[in-house]
Amino acid sequence: MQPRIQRLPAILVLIMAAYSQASAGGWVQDLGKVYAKLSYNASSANTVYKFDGALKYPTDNPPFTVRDYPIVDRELSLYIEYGLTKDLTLIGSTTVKRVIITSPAERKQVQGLGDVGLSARYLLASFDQQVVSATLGLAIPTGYTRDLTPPLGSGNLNVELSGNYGISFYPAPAYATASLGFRLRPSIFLSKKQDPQGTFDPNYSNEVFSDMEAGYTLFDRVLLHGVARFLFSTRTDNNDFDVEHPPETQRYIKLGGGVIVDVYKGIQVSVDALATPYGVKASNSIDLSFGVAYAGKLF
Amino acid sequence: MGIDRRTFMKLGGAGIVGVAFASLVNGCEDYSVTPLGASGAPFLTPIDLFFVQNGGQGSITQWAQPSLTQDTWQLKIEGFAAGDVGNPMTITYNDVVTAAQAGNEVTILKTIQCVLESPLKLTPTGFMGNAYWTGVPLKFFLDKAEVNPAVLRLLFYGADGFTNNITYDRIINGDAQGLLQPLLVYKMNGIPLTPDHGHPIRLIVQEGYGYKNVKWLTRIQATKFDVAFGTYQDQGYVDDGIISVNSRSTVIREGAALSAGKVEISGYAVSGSAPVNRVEIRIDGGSYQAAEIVPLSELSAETPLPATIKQITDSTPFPFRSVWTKWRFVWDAPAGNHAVSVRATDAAGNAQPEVDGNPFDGKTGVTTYNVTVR
Repeated sequence: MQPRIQRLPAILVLIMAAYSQASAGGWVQDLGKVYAKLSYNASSANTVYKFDGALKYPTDNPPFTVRDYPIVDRELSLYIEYGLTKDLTLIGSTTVKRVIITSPAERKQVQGLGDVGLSARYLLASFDQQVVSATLGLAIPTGYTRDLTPPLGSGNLNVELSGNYGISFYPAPAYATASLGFRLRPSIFLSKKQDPQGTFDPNYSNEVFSDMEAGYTLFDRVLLHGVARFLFSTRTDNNDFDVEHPPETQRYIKLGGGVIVDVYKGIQVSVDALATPYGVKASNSIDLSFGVAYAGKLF
Repeated sequence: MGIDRRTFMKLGGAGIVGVAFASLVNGCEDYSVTPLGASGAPFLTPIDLFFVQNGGQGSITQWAQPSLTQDTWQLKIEGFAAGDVGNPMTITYNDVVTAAQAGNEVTILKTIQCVLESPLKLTPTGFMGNAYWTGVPLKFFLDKAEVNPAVLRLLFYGADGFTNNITYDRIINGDAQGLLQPLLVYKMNGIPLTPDHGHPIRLIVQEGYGYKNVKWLTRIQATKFDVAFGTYQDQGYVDDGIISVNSRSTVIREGAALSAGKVEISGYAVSGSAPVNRVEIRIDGGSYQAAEIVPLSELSAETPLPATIKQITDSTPFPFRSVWTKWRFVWDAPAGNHAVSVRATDAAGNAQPEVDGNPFDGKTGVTTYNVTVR
């Protein structure tokens, strides 16, 4: 029951291209179809949000300062969706990351494979121009050293469940989509510690997250879209932002948008930018993403 | 909408492949540390290279650095209960200066070390630095306040909300234990305290980790209660806060790349319980070999020390208690990957344990650096 949606292939393909996270929008892939996106993501922060929401420079030691982005995260990300059935889409993702922290005295850098994401999105209902789906996913650490400064990730298994909604405004070339999810972050650590005797055993808070997006297509080839992302830990504490380790609790809102251009027979290129206007124990980062994607039949 | 058997098998296969993939890449990472800016670690740490760590910043809601001035600063000395202090008083910066000018000024050498060690170095020596501190003995004012001899603890309050304590016995019997009196300090390395380091007055307790040396000190309570008290104690850190014997290299770091051949490894060791009298190096788990303790004459030739420093005027034998002790060791490094370990022992016989997994006890296990020699 997706007649109108199926009449909007260009828009749908471009919607898929907007996502690089496992928590994608409401639509599923058609049977046998694949969507693959390779993106270069660059996240840089000069300041971080403290526990009270105020901003601070994370590695300053007055009078020495670091103003050329003390926190930097670069990653090459591969994200793939595959329509296993007409209602079920499998999703896999992985990243090769480089994380850098710069203080007045030293620069610490780690690079390697980040978490691997495996998830499945199931179409629960579709009617007229709307869809409702659910996504169940895992983020699996790949064995990096979780007590390095900085680490490649939190090092624990994350399980997330989200409900997704999408609506097409056909005949207007526009859409909106939203996801609301819960991320369970149990203390199941699958990565090693540099100091096996050390007591670095964080208790990461579970999280509620939401992604919202609206887009408008020009000339069936160019999609302009705006994005809002919210993340709130279900627990709060008064500890300050710790630049050395991933925060156990955090909150942030990211706002931004981007452009996706359908270049040739299902191949798209994209540019996205997000800012972080609000946060608690979070990096006040600017996130840029440059992507190349393909949507179509695998063979 | 259902999933047939073939589809189910595909799903299962995808999961197995994912987990296997994750296992295959176990430990696939590259880590490096690049020293930047100022390097080296002179015996006296310049103030602009001295670490800044505010103990209340991570635990006191709405923490902010106090902006106190010499004109407005006041220190209350009072009892927790009636009778704990016979003459409760409030002293001003001028009172401290007047006491200093009356011949009570004391300058001591002391290494400040945070009980926490940050894996991210903000300065070449991390959360550790050495300075000479000038002030007036706290006992001078406690005597004026007529602290009841039955008092057991002195509770200290900083203007930022940070708290800590020492025993009153530390004031009364510290001299007999070879300790220097705690000071109300107004100068660091000869200049007035900077705002980051507790301007205008902070406490300096010779043997204590950083959290014993309360910055922006504005209130002292004397009490007959004998209980642990302080911001760090609330988090589980050891109450007495005496610097446990520990050592580090300031030349090599974890993951460092060295050139094959003779390499001079040097660094510092310190203990709040007694002077450091032995530092040893172990290569690749072999037997410990003695490192050389650098004499004070050589250190003071590199970094002139004021003649007014009490350990010098008292002709205290070097190394000094609670003052970092420089050591050096020449290693004929062969090519390959090596583990270089450093262990210090103090004159009271306290040695670094091989491993210390308790971050709250103040102890530090043997420091090991994994290095590559090419």
